[in-house]
Amino acid sequence: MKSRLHRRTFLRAGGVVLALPVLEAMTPRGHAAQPRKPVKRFVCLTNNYGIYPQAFFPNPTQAGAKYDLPETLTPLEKHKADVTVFSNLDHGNTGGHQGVPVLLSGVKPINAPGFPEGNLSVDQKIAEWVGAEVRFPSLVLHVNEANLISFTRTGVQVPSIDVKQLYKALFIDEEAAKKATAKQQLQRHRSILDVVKDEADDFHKGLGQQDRRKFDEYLDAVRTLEKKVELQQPWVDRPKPKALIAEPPAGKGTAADLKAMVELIALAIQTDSTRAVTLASGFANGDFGLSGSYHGFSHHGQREKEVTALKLIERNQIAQMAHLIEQLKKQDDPINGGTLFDHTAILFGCGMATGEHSTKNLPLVLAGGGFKHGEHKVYPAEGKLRVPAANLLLSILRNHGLEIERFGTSTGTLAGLAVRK
Amino acid sequence: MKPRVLVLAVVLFGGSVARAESPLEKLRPFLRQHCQECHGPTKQANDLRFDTLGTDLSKKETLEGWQGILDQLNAGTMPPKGKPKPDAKEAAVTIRTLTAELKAAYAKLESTGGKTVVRRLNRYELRNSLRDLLHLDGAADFRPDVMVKLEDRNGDGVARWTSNDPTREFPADDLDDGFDTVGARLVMSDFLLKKVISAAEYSLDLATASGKKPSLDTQTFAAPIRTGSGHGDLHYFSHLSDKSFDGIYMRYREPGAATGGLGRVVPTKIAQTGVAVRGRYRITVEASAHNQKHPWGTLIKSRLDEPMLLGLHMIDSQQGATSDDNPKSVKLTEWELPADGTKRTYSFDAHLDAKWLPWLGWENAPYDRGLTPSKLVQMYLPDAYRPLPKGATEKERQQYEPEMAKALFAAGYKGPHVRIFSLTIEALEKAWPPKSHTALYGEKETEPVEDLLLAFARRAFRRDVKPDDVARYVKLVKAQMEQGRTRAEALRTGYTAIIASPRFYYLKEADGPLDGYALASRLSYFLWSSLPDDELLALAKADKLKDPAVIRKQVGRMLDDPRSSAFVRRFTSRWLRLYKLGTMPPAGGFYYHRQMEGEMLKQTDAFFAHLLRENRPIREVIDSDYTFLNERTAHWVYQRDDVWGDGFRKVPSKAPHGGGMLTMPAMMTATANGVDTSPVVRGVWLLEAILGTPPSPPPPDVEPLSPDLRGKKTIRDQLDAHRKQAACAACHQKIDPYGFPFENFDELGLWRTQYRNGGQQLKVDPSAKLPDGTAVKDIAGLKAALLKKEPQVIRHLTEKLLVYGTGRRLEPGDRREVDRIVADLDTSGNKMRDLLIQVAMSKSFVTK
Repeated sequence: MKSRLHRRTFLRAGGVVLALPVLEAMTPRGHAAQPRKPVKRFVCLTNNYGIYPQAFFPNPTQAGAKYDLPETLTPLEKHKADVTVFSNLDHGNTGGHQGVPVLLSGVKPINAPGFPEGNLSVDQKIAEWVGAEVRFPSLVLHVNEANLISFTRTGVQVPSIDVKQLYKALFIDEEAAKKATAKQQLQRHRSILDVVKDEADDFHKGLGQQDRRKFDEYLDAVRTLEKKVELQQPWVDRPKPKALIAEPPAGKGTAADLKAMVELIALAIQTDSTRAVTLASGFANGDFGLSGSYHGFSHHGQREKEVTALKLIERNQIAQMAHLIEQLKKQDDPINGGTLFDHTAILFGCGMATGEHSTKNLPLVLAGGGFKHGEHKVYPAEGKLRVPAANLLLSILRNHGLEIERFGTSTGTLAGLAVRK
Repeated sequence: MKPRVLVLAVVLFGGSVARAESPLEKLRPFLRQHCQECHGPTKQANDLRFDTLGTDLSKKETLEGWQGILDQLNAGTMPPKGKPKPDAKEAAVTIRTLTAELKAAYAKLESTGGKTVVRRLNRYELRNSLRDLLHLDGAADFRPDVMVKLEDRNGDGVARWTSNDPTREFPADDLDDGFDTVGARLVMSDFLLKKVISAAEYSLDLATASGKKPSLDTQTFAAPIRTGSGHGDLHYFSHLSDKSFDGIYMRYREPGAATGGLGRVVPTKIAQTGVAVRGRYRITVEASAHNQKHPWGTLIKSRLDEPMLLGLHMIDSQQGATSDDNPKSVKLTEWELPADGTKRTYSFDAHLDAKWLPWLGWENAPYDRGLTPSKLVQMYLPDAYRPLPKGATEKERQQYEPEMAKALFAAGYKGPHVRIFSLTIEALEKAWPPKSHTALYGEKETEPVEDLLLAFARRAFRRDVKPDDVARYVKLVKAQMEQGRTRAEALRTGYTAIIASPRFYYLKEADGPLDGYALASRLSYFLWSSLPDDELLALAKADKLKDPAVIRKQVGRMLDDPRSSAFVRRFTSRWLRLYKLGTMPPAGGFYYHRQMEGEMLKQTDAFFAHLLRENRPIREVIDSDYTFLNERTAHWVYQRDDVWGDGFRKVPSKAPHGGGMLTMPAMMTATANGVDTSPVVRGVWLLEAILGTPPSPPPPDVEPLSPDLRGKKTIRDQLDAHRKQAACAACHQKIDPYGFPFENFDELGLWRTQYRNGGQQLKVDPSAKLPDGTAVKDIAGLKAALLKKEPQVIRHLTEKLLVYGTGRRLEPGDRREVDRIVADLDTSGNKMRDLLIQVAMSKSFVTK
């Protein structure tokens, strides 16, 4: 274990961060027998329109353990001792909707080239680190919304899947014939990549210096894909866990779909199918008896009807966060001992704070994961003293087990957020 | 006061004397006086110190330092409250100088030395290239105007399984100023490479024929062609009396309501299945037109000012061959029918995808859903009329209209109508196995794999390819066969590898003047977003493309080729930022129900294609005495009822929308957010897209505007701060005035004179004072003012075309070429097609 860490440090110091397949440093091929303990998981719940701040943030004078849960957060009443609400954290950018993809990295996609890891998001960072220890290093999910927050280090926005696709991925084994085809396909891809690699090397030789630098992206792509294909091989034969619930119906409206999705996430964690999850949820016309669009409601202009609608949608999202907490508290953690909740960090957050396009004071609520909870943490509001939200992300990653010094736009771990024990 | 004046004088004079030193040195006195008390040698508030700040902007820390100063000055937040503010004029000079220097520094940082950086194909180009490479011409979702967006992930799943676009799950390409063809910007990743391999495999499957040979005999459908249609229309009733033709009596689409599939002649025999095989077909129709001038004008409102137009369409049978709502219906052509009752034959050749079928409609027919045979009989055949008695039984009710209809047709139908006698579908090439299949596996399926791979690679690599160049692929294919794969599977593996190879996926260009093959590719990706065809490759091989006269001729040919619809769609979508359409759609309403998004883009396509085809003056982009409309756009957006039918046609423009492209609904919707409009957004769009003078980005800490939609203020009032605060006004006086005249167009492009906020009606004020002092009253005034800036508009369009076509940003070295092009155009009337030709012949285009 130690030697691997040293190697990673060496790589960073040598300035070589992007090029090598990061997965190389991972556990031996497809063998999850001895995961590093404790095994942590991360779940991020989000929406693309922010929240109605007057009903979300506790009174700024109520910092500490004695604070009143505001209207939107009341579903968390039962779990108040296990959650932390943050005020005055954000990523220090502007740009309205452009803030949405910034939530889990602190880096705007357009600024990514200026950062060593680009705009890599927390869940993808964990996925790289976990490698092939689990079948799905990360799961990127959606319910009636576009999931815009998961990015790889090369700036690819990872596409998301819905509740039906998730169920199939987790529990439905391919028939033997399909498995054989899958194995054949992996083999074929390896052969194709062999040829492509040689072609790429030849192509590279014929380029000028400026083009070579650009074309390195392609060479990296080939090498990384080769590695990934190799790592995928063992998982083809390994059987999936038995489904503990029936396949949920889909298209039943956000309330039902979101609940079903949250329950699947709990199962995915329980079966150690994944270690990092992001879920974006939205609104479908007809939900909660409302007609209109999420985007329309978010442009409420303080009109009562729209504000009420918005609060309904948000409250449901928080209610489902509470539901997830309950599901995880109910389950024993077979790997770590204790309950699943103790070692799963759940973050509710939005990259754009409000429907009025503000990206200041992001809504952020953290639960579980082994942190010390139960407080409303108010950070400084004045310009110079403001704390980057990326510090929270770094704290989460370090708690997850990554021994890194910075992440995205962080300046250190988040002051005042401690770990239990 | 005095010392400040002296400082100002020093700043002004100092600038003209010192030449070798950076202009930033001129700003030091300003910094010394207003900033260094807290950010200098004695004190460094917030760790910032300016006296030691260098002027070498190529150093990142130096650049960031000066940018920080500029941001604070723009926001007016420094010097802080309690400290004396600098003189407004002085601050303005400082801001101007600093802005210019930083702009130049950023440009330099991002410079690629005036050369295109080697670029990969973007998603759209990949799809088109696969189409042409694999002979998938008829495939439904490979058409130029079909763009399946990745953002369409609202859980309905429809886009996925009804689309055969192999790139439908690709991530969006990286944009540079809206363009997705800029090499330095497009990123490659292992994720994308995997997608490319999947897309290749998927497309090869599409191209491979499987199963038994289907029947490919010519199919002739003689009347009655459509049977079992709805019971309410004259087509049905006419068949009760006479089955020797299918009559069309009404339009197939009416803007206000669904027609329920009436007014369409669809061959019912193949309505569930369509044609069996994708291929090229000749569709022949026998038709006649009757009674354009008719005596029943009181009840039937029809047109005498246009010929009767018969439209030929194709539609996907899998989503309802007669359905109004089927999004997969494409108009192929229309014929003008002389209304003399003579039967004539009309033909058209088209690519039909498997399961698609043709159908016919009378494009500009009258429409009145409530027109029943009994009404016609009552008015024009009173002797044969009897009213339906009150208390009639259900059976009597059902028999009533048919009885009336019988009388109507027995006397000879005198109203206007079209008669269709037969519809024939004939496969043009030997359609089985399809060309896409034989190109991959050979006609006899025993040809040596070397030959097949070589031919494939020649087209994929867009160059002359020798057997040595494909040796690795041959080896791969043979190894696969040795491992037990079939010949076909092995070949597909080889083809997949060829498609994943950078020789296909990247555009390789050597430094300096482009060689023939590289130029052929550049031309074809510019005008077709796809592979060069045989003619271009032959010219490349013969080294003829270095001759400007040859380039000129080829550009003309390529623009006339149907594949240039890719350029029309793609370039306008990037240049005018129309790719934003659909990202913030208006909720519900006619936009969704009438599928307006697609229609809006067809309008911009039609207009721009017209400018190219007819070589119209470029200024018609700003204003023109004509526009292009179809019935839906005219009815719902322009509130005009003088255009009938689904096809877009050239019509005179009318107030208040006027002509030109700027106020078309596509632009107005793309520059709004589906809920309300913003003069700032539209002003920025006009400056960026049309005038080429984009404003600087806002300072970082500016809070976004929270519009109060409860109806007490208009957006103009709320933007007051832009005028009242000097720091804001500096930039916003150059932005907002361009946006105010557009306020008469709501978020869908409809004309409004009042806002509808929370029940209160506030008046729209479209007047503005442009930065150069011109006062404009409204949009007409703005268009007139923009016409005066025609040279600037043309220049900017030239630059945008060059960026799109060369795949790189323009740099100072291109200035002379742009000057030359603009001057040349000026001598020939500043026309659009000429501009395209000039761009393709320019030094910037034919050089890397």
